[in-house]
Amino acid sequence: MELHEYLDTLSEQIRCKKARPMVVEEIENHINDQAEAYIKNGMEKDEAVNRAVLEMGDPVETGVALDRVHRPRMQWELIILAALLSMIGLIMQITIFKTGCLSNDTNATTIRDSLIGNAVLNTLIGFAVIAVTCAIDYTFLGKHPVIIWWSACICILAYHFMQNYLPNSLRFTFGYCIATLMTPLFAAMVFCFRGKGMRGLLICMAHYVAARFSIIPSLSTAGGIIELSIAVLFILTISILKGWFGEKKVGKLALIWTPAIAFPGILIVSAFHTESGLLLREYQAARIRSLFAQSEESYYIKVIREELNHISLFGNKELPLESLPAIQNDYMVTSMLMYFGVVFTVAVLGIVAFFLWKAFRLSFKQKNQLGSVISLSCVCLLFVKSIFYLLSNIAVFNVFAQMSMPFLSYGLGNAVVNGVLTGLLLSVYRNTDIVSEKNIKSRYIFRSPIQRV
Amino acid sequence: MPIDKSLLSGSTTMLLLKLLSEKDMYGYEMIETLQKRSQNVFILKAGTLYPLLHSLEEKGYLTVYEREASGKVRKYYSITKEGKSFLKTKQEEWKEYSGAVTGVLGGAVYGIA
Repeated sequence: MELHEYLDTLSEQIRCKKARPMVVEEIENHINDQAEAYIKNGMEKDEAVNRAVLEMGDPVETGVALDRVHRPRMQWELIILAALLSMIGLIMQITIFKTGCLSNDTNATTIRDSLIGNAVLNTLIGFAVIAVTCAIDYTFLGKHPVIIWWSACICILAYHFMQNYLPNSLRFTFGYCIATLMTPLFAAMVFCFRGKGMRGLLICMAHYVAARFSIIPSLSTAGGIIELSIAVLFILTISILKGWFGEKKVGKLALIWTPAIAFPGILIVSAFHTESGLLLREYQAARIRSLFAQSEESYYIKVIREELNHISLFGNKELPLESLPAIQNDYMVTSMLMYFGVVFTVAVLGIVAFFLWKAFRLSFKQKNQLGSVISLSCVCLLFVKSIFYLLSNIAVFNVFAQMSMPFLSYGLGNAVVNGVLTGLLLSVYRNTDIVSEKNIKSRYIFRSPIQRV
Repeated sequence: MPIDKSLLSGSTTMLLLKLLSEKDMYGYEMIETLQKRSQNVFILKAGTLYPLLHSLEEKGYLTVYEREASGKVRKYYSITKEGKSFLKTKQEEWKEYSGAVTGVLGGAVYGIA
């Protein structure tokens, strides 16, 4: 049997075509090594290669064994948890809409029915987005990360000029979606500049800072931008700790954490001293002040505390419809505590925590580095969203701007963003034994060796 | 002397992990080393080796990285923490097993592997 015949037969046994090149290359190298050894022992070249191929054994048997390893894997546990949480969210949303509409007036019931219809539709769209994102090969993000990053920025500019033509609801949703989805793009960029030491780190930071202070603010979504900033900080911290930017980790950590603490610090201080500062507009200062319970702007914190005094273990079947605004968006956990009680709510939050923990472990252990950094960035965003939402709902601080609870809260934007993040997680896991780091070639990597995870 | 295959298959994993616990190697190097160290008793077919290596990697016992050696980019395998503890249990099992076999056969024939 000829070498190419052997390799062709072997690779045909591997059903997943994407996995073939990396497997075949390794086997081919092996045969060449063996042939070289025979040539050294005095064999002719052709005879040596044929002998080496013969030594390999049956290509079908080997191919079938390799096929068993290299195939897409679905992370069913995460999918089931996501479906369960979405169902709970949907039930809660429907409960809110039904309780909120007590009159039998036709107008009111029509609105109620259309809201319930929207809730069902959003959940379905969320699942469709998960399925589509999961099917996409995420590695394209690692191929031209800088181009993708700035293309996204151009999309933001386009959105900025077109937003006045969009209906109000879509306007905020779009901005929020784009801001959050910049995170995995940044993660891909960090992957591509790894192994370049301080210079690589500075380039990543430069791209982020340039976009963050020029184009990204035009999204006018404080929540989305804060989530993005935290996720970026997290990605850089993890990659520095992993040694992606070389040794001297402490200095590099200081380089990113100093501005990360100083910048919000200055904003908070200036929010409480508006007379001296021109840094913030009055409404922005008021928003920051309202985050803190001590300020007079934190009206809703007091309201929630008042409501939370009346919760019970198994729920009162009451909702804070009168006292809190848009509870299906912003106060799902508070509503759940009041309606279904502490036991149920803690169980639901437990499922969320389990989902995040499971996803974090899978991402952290992921052997493909691009996959690992992208899925870690998704887990980080989901975690930040959940924790902010939870804290605001139990009156630790105020809701600011647009916020959403993954899977639970109402809204198309939330469904889409969660769909993309969860889909990316699943896509990374699915491709674990299929894509090799080497196939993610980029013009930003100059033959950098693949490091150990 | 080629040895009965069934005797080998169960312990191949253990032998490979043992080799890798000493140093990182690429596939061809493993076959060569194994053959040399066992005085030509264990002649492992490459067709058996790679599926085994890949499934050990999938289970998290090994990791892979690429390194250039004498002008060629090679895939090196390296044992993980999980791999080391798996090797330890396998070794203990083996000791118990070979001890039992020796006990039955009688006489002190140590040092099979």
